[in-house]
Amino acid sequence: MIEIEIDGKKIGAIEGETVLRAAKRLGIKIPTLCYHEAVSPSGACRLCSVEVQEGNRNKVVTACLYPVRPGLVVKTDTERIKKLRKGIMELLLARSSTSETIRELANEMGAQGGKFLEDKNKCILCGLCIRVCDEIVEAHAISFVGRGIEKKVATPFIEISDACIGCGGCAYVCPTGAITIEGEFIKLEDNIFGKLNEFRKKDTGETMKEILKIDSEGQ
Amino acid sequence: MSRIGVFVCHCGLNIAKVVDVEKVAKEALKIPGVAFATHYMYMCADPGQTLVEETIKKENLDGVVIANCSPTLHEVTFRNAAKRAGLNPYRCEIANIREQCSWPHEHEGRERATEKALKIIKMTVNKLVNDASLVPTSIPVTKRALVIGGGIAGIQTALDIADGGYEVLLVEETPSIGGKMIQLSETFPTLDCPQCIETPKMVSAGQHPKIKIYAYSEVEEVTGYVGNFKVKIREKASYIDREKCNGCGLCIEKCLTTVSSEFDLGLSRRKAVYTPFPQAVPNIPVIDREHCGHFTTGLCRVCQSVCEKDAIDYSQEDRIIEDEVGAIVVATGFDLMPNEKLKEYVSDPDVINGLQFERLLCPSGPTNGLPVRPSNWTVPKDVVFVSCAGSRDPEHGVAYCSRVCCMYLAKQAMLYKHAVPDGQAYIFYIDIRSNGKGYEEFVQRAKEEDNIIYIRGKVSKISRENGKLKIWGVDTLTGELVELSTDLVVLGTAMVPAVGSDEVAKRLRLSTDQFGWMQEAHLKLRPLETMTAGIYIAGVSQFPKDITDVVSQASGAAAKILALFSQDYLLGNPVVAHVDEEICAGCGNCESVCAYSAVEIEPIRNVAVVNEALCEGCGACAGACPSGAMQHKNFTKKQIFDMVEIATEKY
Repeated sequence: MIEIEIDGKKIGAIEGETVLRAAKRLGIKIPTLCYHEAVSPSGACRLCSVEVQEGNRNKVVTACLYPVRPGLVVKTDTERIKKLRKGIMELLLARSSTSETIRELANEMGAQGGKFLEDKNKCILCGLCIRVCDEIVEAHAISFVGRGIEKKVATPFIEISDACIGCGGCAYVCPTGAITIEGEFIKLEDNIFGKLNEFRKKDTGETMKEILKIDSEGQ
Repeated sequence: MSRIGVFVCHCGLNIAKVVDVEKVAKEALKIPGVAFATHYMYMCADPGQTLVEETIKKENLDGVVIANCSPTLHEVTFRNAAKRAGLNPYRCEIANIREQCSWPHEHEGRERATEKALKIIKMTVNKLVNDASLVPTSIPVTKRALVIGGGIAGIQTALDIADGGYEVLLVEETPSIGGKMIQLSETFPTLDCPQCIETPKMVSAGQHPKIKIYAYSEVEEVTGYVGNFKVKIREKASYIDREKCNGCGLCIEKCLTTVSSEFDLGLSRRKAVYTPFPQAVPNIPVIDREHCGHFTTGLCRVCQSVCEKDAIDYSQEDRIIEDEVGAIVVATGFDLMPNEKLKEYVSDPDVINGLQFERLLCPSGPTNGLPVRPSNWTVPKDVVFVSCAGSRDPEHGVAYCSRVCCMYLAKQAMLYKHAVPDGQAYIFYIDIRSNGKGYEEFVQRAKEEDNIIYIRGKVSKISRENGKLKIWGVDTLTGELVELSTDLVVLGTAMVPAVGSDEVAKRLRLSTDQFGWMQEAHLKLRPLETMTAGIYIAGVSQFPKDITDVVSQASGAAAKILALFSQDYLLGNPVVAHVDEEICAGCGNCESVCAYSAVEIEPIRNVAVVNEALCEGCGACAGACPSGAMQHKNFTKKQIFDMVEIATEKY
């Protein structure tokens, strides 16, 4: 057990754990989007940014990735952090103006739209769904595909996947509600990831490949 | 003409001092039907009983009246004596001339008391003249027991009954047996950990071929009577097929939802599909519907998708199991009184109860045994323990002593010092109650070896000041006020009946005391029985006690049940209600007044029928019957009116 300081309060933390975990245990609020306690952190959304002081230097780090060290001083609510989070939210809002979660968070942080060209992607490319699929479910059915503005979360060749076991974990953890379950399919906007577990189970005697064939013929 | 014998007891001087027993015996001879009368110093002593037996044979008596103490004490003694002499035991009656004559009339003169004693005897003789020779009914015994509550009391009772060769249904409300004991860090005074000493018993219960554990279940309904109870058990939907699940734990590992853990009293987090602790018995997880992502959002199916046994069933419903048992043990345990009831003590994350501190001290607990302040997870430099927080305090809590707090606070202070050698522990106490084997030595060890400071006095107020908790108290040995600043406060909170035990009592029609503890049949002589035959109590459900006492009581209750099960048939009391079907018009008055559901109107013949096994012989139905069809055996209308007539005669 080591001691650190968050917002002027001395707290105990377990050596090696992240600032976010130590803070969450005691109910200290740090906003997050791409963080989930079941999977490894990735620092994708940058929303959990906090200021840390080490020696004479102040720097901004993501709380979800930064490990605690003895004597670490953390500030979660400085002007610098507020401004930074507002900026992040403005960018997220521009990308995902249709997401209720993003709009609410932006509102909370005083971020308004209009600064950047608006887009209507619900997905913020945080990759939480991919981490759940890889680390928890171990199905490895989805990943990032494409580069730059083409980048998205999808199955290989953007085709319905037979690696997907239909658990819906990706839809459950998605912070912006971009992944949905419609009928028997798990979808990210127009891309079908796979067939829901209970429908797969009913397909006895019929391999997934055959379903895929029927689907592709249907298209 | 009857040949009745009257035996007047002196009861030492209890009766003879007030009643002229010699005169009573002489006058009793004049009562019509009395063929013999005598008096003796102690009728209940062996020679007294022998006197009754021999006189019955010698004088060829067809009934005896024993004029002595209350029938609750010696009716059985003399009925057995009569039986030994070849008489029907129900031709023996008790005339109570002690509780109903000599004791209350001590100051009203010997003459009047003697007259009243004689009157009582006369009434009894007249009743006896019309007493029938009754034969007890025999009731079959279902040799299977139901144990309600899977704590250490329930586990021990179940094991002892099962080892005796009989089946046991062990019903536990939470997903695993183990109870409060498995939450403790170490146990006084030996400091052995429950994870080491209770788990073998849990495993034995789980694997015993005669024990069927219904975890995550509740007793829904109990009907019937000793030897013949019918029970309904509600096995709550756990959304996991208990037969298919092999307990691999993959669903728990993969679950994406975490919530506050009840087992760790909010000090750690568990998954939405969970077993309360790693050594759970049965090792079958349950899904917490309230928090599970599948039920809250409809999106998640991770556990179902990864389960290799296909055991997850989101559509599972509660299952009702019906079974028959011959005996029931109530072992519903306790909970701690909520801290909020103690209004002078600030509601603060660092003011915790004993059970929370047990989890913090537990090597397998949320901090691996390192005590921390829940508010900031740092190690407290000092801890104040407050005894009698709610106990012995009728104004804020309960009047009784919870009996274990003195010992567990000493133990916790000791364990804290072992974990934090440079920390300081203070214990506020009113009296140190260490009345058990090795207990006093344990407390002395805490004081002398671990330098725990004991302050005799009550804590009047706890508040939060400058980041520390401030304690106001008084040292009653020096008479000085004490003010202390501390990092952590542990309250030795009062033990109260487990939440929901009132509902269990209601379903079993058991009475509870003013605090809600299960009422025993007699505090000293029948502490394991309830007033309902065939239902027993074990453990803290009766009153706070330590583990040693709980285990002893649990084995005691099992012994009672083994004795019950050693009989194929029970003899029922034949002094019950009886219907003359020729007279009965089927009005149903009797059915509606019966508190034991022993009378029913048979729909086809439209007459009342008495279930003699259920009838307790209270006489309410006989009183309510407008036609006199319902009569109480040996308390018939004629018998009662004869007695009333004598009772109201002028002296």
